[in-house]
Amino acid sequence: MTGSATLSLQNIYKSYPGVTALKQVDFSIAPGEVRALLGKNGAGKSTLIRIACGLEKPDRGSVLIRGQQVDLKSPAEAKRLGIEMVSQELNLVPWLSVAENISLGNWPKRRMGINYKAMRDYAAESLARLQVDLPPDLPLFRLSPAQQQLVEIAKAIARQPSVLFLDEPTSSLAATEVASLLATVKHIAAQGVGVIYVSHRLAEIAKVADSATILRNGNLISTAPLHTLSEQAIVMQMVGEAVQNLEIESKEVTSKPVVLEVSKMTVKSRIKNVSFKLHGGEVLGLAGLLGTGRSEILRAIAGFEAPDEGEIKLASEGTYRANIRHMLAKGVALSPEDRRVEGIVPFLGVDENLMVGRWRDVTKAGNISWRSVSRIAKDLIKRLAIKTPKQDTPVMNLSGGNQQKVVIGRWLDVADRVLLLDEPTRGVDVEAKNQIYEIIRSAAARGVGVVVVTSELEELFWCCDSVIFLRNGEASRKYPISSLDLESLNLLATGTLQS
Amino acid sequence: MNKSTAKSTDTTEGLTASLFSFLRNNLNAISLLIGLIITAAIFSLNSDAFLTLANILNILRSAAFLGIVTWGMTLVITTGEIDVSVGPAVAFSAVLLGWLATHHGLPLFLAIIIVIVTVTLVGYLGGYIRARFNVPSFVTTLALWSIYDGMKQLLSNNQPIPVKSEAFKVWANGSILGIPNPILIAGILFLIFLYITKQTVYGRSLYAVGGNAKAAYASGINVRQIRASVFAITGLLSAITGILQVSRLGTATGQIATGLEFSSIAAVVIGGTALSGGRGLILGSLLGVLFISLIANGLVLIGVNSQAQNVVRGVLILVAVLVNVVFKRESKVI
Repeated sequence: MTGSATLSLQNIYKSYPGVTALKQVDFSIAPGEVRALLGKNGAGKSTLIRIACGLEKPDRGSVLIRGQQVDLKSPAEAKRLGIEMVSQELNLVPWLSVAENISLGNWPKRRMGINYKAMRDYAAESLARLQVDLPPDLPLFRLSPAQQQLVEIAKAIARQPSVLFLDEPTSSLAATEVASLLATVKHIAAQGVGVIYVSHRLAEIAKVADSATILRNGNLISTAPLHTLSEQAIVMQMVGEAVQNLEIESKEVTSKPVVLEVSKMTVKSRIKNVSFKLHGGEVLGLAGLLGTGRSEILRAIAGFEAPDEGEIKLASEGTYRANIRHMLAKGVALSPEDRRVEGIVPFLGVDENLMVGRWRDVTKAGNISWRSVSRIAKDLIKRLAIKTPKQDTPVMNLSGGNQQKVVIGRWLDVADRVLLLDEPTRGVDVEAKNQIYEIIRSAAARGVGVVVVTSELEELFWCCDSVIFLRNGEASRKYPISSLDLESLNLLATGTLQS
Repeated sequence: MNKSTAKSTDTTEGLTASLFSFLRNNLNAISLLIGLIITAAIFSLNSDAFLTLANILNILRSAAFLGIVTWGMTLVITTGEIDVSVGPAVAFSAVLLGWLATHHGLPLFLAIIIVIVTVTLVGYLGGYIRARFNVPSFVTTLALWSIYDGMKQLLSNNQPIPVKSEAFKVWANGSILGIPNPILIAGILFLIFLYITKQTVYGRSLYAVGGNAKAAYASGINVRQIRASVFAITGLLSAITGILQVSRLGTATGQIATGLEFSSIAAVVIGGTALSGGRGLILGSLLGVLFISLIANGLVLIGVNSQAQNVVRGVLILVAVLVNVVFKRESKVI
C-alpha cells in the first residue's frame, strides 16, 4: 500500500500539554483517491493535517512522500513537495483581483515589477483545470463566498500539488454551490491528485469520497472503502457508541396560541410577501439557499433592521420595534448565522459570553454579582452539555460545537417568546448536532416558538414541526413536516415541485 | 476535571500547583513587577537620592499626573479605540481655566465646571463622530489633537496666565496624612475604574465591544454609545489633570503635558492591554504608569542628559513591550 501512496504518515504520535492529539496513527493516500477524513471535533483531524502540511512536527513517527522519508520543517517545504491545504478560513485578500490572489506570495516578475500577463495566464490555467469560469481581473470581494472558495482551491491547484487537503470546504456554501464544488473535487482527483476531504456533512462524503479514515480521540479507528460503510456505521465509529437518532414526534401545535405573526413582509428586496404564523411550542424550519433572504427574515423579526414593507406582530402586549434591545426585552432573540462574526466574544469567558444580553438578571444597583453569574453559567453549561475546562475559560479555546452551544445558550432563558436560530449546527460535529436538536426541542417544550434556518434539508426532520421553503424571492406556504419525505422535501426546496 | 485527584494528593503538591497556575495567570503583572524592582535597584545603586522618601513621593506624584488620564486610556484601548489627543487636551484645559478665571474674571469654581463640561463634551463629540460615521478614532483624535493645540495657543497667546488662589493651590500641593493630594486623587480614581471594569455592566460591555463589536451589537449592547462614552471619559480625566496642573503650578500654561498621549498609551500597552481591543488590565496600567514614571525620574537622577533621556526611555519601553509580547506568545501555546 505504501508503495503506491503519494503521501504516507506512519505510526504518528503527537501530544500537547495535557492532551494526546494523535496516538499511533497511520494514514496514506494514493494518487487520484478522494479520502474522507472523519471524526468529531477534537478527534485529531486538524493535528493530522497540520503534521502533513508541515505546520506541526510529530513527536514520533515518520512522514513519507512517494516512498521517501521527509522531515517537513515548514509549510513552505510541504508545498514544495506537493502538499497543499485549503483551510476553513479563506486566506485571500479581498481588494486584490482573482489572478493576484491565485498567485499570492509568488507573483511572476519581470525586469520592472510584476508580469501581469504571466499572472493572468497562470490564473486562467488553474481555473481551467478546475473547470470554473471566473474573470481573473475581478476584485475578489465582488465574488460570492462560494466563488471565493473556488479561488482558494484554484490557488492551491495552481501549484500542481500531488496531495490536496480540503478542510470543510462547504461549510459556508448553499446546496447548489455544494454540488458544483463536489464536482470540482472529483475533477481534481481525476487528474491524479490525492484529495483528503474533511467535512461534518455525511451526505456530501457519500457523494464525493472513495474511502474514509475515521479518527476518535486521537486514535485511528478504521480506514475503509466508503461503499462498505453505512452512514450509521460511520457515525457509530466517530462517536464510539450507538447513537439513536432522535425520532421526533411531530406534535399538533396549531392549537397553541400564536406567538408571532408575520404578514406580507418584504425585506431588502431579497424576499417578498412573507406571511406566516408561529405558534408557541412550534419549531418552524426555513429552508432555502444562501442569499434567498432567510437570514434577512430572522434579522427583521429580531429587530436588527426594519422590514421594507409588511407587518410583524407579537402576541399579547408585545409590540414590534426594529430595535434589538426592545425585541430582547419582549423575549425575542436571534442566534446569528456566523458564530465567529456575530456570536462569540473570543477573549471573554464562557460565563460572560452566556451573560451578554442579560446582565440585568445578575445586577443589583449597578453592581454585578459574580456569584449569580457563576450560578447561571453553571446551570447553562450543564443544560447544554458545554464542554469547557472552567466556567471562565475564554470561549475562543472551545471547539466549534461548544462555541455554538454558548451562543445559543446566551438566549435560552432570554427568548421566552420567540427563539430565532440561523444555521445553528453549521460546522458542528454529529454529537453536538444532536445535542443542539435536543436543546431546540426542549425550548419548544417550554412553549417558546422557534424558527430554524438551515441549508441541510435532512436536519428539518430532526427538529422541526413545519417547514417554509424560500426560493426565487418568495416563500412557500407552511408544510407540516409529517406530510413530507426526503424526496418531496428536495423537490420543494429546489422548486421542482410547486405547492 | 482533575480537581478530585488534586485533593487526594498531598497538600504541598496542591499548593505548588495552585501557586503555579496563579503565577501563570499573572505572568504579565509579575514580570512587570520584577522589571520595576530591577530598574529601581539599578537606579538606587547609581544614585543616593533615588531611594529617599522625598524622591519616592516625587515619582508617585508624577505617576499620579500620568495615571489619571491612563485609567481612561485603558478603557479606550480595551474598547478597541485609541485617543491621541489627551496631551493637548490637558494643556488646553489648563489654559482655558486661566483664560476664564483670570482674563474674564469668572469665579474659579464656575471656571472649573465650565472646563470640565467643555472638554468632556468635546471628547464625547469626537467619540460620537467616530461611532456614528465609523471614522477610525486615530483620525478623529488626531484632529482633536491639532484643534486643542491651536486653541490653547489662541487663548493664551503662548503666555502663562497666573491663577491666584491659595485655597485652589492646596488641591494639588496639599497632602493628607503625608500623602500628597494628587496621589490620593489618582488612587481613588484608580479604585473607581477598577470597580467599573470588574463590577459594572458598562465596564464588561467595553470588553465585549472591543472583543467583537458585531457580537456585542447583536446582543443588544449599544455599541455607538459605548464607543462615544470612552472618549468622554478621557476628556473628563484630561480636564481634571489640566485643572490639577494649574493648581500645582499656580499658573495656567500650555507648556504642560507634552507627549502625555505617548506615555499614556505606552503605559497601557506595557501593562498588557491589547491594542487590538477586548483585553484590558487596569492593574497592568497602574504598573505601566509606575514603570514609566520611575524611568523618567531615575534617568534625571543618574545624570543622563535630557536629549538622551528620550532615547533611553523609548528603548526601555520597547523592551518592556517586547517582553510582554513574548510572554503572551508563550502562554498562548499552552
